[in-house]
Amino acid sequence: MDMKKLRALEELRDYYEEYDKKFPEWLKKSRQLARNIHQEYEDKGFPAGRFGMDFDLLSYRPHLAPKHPPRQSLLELDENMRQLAESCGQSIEEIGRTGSKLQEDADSTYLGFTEEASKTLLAKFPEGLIIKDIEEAVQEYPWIEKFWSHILPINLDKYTAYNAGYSRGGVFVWVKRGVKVELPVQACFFVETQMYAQLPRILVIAEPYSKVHLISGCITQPACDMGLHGCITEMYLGEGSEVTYSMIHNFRPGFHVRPKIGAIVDDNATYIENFIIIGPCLSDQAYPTVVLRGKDARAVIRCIILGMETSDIDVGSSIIFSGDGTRGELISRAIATGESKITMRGTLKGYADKVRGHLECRGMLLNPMARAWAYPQIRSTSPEADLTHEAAIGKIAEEQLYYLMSKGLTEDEATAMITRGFLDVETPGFPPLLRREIDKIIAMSLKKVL
Amino acid sequence: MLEIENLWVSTGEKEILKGVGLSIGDGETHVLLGPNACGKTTLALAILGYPAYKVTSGSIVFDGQDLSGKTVSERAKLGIGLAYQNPPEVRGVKLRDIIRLIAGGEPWDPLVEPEERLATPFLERVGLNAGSFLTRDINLGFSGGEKKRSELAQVFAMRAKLMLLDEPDSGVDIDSVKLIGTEIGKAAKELGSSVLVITHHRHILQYLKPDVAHVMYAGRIISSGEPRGLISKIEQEGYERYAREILGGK
Repeated sequence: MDMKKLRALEELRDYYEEYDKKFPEWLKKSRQLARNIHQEYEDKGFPAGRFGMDFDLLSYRPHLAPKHPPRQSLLELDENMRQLAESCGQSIEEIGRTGSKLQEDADSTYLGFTEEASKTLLAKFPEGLIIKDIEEAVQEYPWIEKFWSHILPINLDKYTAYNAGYSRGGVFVWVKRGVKVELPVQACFFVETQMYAQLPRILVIAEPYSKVHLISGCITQPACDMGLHGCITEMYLGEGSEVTYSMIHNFRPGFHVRPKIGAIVDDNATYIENFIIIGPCLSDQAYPTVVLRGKDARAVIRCIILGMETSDIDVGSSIIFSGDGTRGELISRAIATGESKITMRGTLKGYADKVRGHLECRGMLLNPMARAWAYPQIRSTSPEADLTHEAAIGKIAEEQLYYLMSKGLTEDEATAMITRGFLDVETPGFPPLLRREIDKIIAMSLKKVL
Repeated sequence: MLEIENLWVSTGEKEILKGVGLSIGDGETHVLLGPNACGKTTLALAILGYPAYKVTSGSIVFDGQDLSGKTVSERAKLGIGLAYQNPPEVRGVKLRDIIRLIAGGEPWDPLVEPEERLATPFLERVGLNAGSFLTRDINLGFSGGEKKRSELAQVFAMRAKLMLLDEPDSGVDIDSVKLIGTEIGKAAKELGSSVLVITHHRHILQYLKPDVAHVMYAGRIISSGEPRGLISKIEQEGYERYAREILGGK
């Protein structure tokens, strides 16, 4: 390893020795182990992850950020930050939300329930929903150890080890048995410091027959050109529960983005994921893994990708069908503009009886310099598994373009309408109000690119 | 309204129209008959200016303007509306949005919640249930008859000065033919539009009351005349024999 990297690691070690003092023993040990693994991977010259563009993780440091003072409410955000947050599905007035969390660089600057939630949901179930800064939660609930790095092992890849060793901030969401949280909880992660590595951890525990929707919006300040954002998100869905996880990314052309996501889904539970990329980046790589462990568990995953400028995007999901009668569906839609490169992946692995899965990747190239790849994969060890896939990449169908033009639309209007329609995938289980918000976000970003 | 002179059109290497001449006056309704693959749809698409249908010779003048060099959208905006025989499916584009746009609502803006009232009367007019069709993706999963009706609703919404109707009656049941035929007649009268209807069936014509019928054969219009007589003759003889008779000496 070169001297620059060694010095960077030394600096991190000194900082985190102090930082980790507040954590329980088990976590200190786990973090130390992750750091050792990360160092070993650096030593061996491993790439940042299995997929996606490689880069030097240590150029982005998770400890170099100013302290951000807490805020009384999201309304304190300035106009510019508000707009950015709203572009990522965050409601500044918290309309139609249960609660909000705001993280700026490493600091949790706001966390709270909305008035509406306090009057309704929490009046009925005072302890029904816990939302906490994850670094407080690990101190308060020792049992979290059992759920820590359990779905996504710390040695998964270099990036995961880096996050597991040096994470700061994040959020813990715990819904109690039978509590149905109808309005989404929103979490906004802002990167505000140049060359900063924002490494939060998210843990969602949905007890049996509960329901929750987490919208995480990840963004950066315009003044901040370069940086790294990534997270480790682990979700546990108890019997009959329903968790929706919506991620919206809106970064800048100098950003690397590496969310690591894993979910374990028990009997009759439903996991819904919406992954939406609407802003440029240097690279964005994600490959969520969903384990349908319980009988009749279900996963519905939607990826909507808008590739712009020189973004290098590599996303997809893997659904593992290990419970009998499990069902899963993964639909990706990508529009590549500018010189963007988009890779759509997807894997369905059938290990149980009577499982049903479908995988669909469709890409549209809007510029001769744009590129797209699709890698749908199916693996099955069960003769009773019914797994299918389809993939297609192409430009706008001329037939459709002229059809709309013959109705009096200009070529630009027709292109906008067709691309908008192409990205319009059904999102089952989505509240209509939120669906409209997401539609608006996508439409607004499309308008900017086209 | 429409003056076509000696029109030659080819796609790729293949010549499809070989010197078509056609003149439709203001407010007139013409019917275009002809066997399959004789060039009827090509004529409609060439009038609309589809780049794949290349005009190699001849001219199309619409409403006093030479159409050459005008794009498909420009021609549509001038007032040429085509009801397609086989319209393509466009996933995610709602019938409501298209109709609202062409009926002259605000320019399409994905951020604006569409006004449904604007589109409803056009759908109801052709017997499509607005409640279910407004939010359907255009042509996706539509039956043959539903496609025809939706196409007609769009041509009406455009207030087209020239309605090109490509087999609006094929695959449509007899009751619906009556509705479609009557509505086309009414709309043309209201808007003062000229109509060119391509069809294989006599049934719809009893509601349209065309002024002139044309017979197209192998890329040419081989005869024009009083519709009733012409149609009965073709029904008796078939296109082959009729064409031989007309072209006999040539």
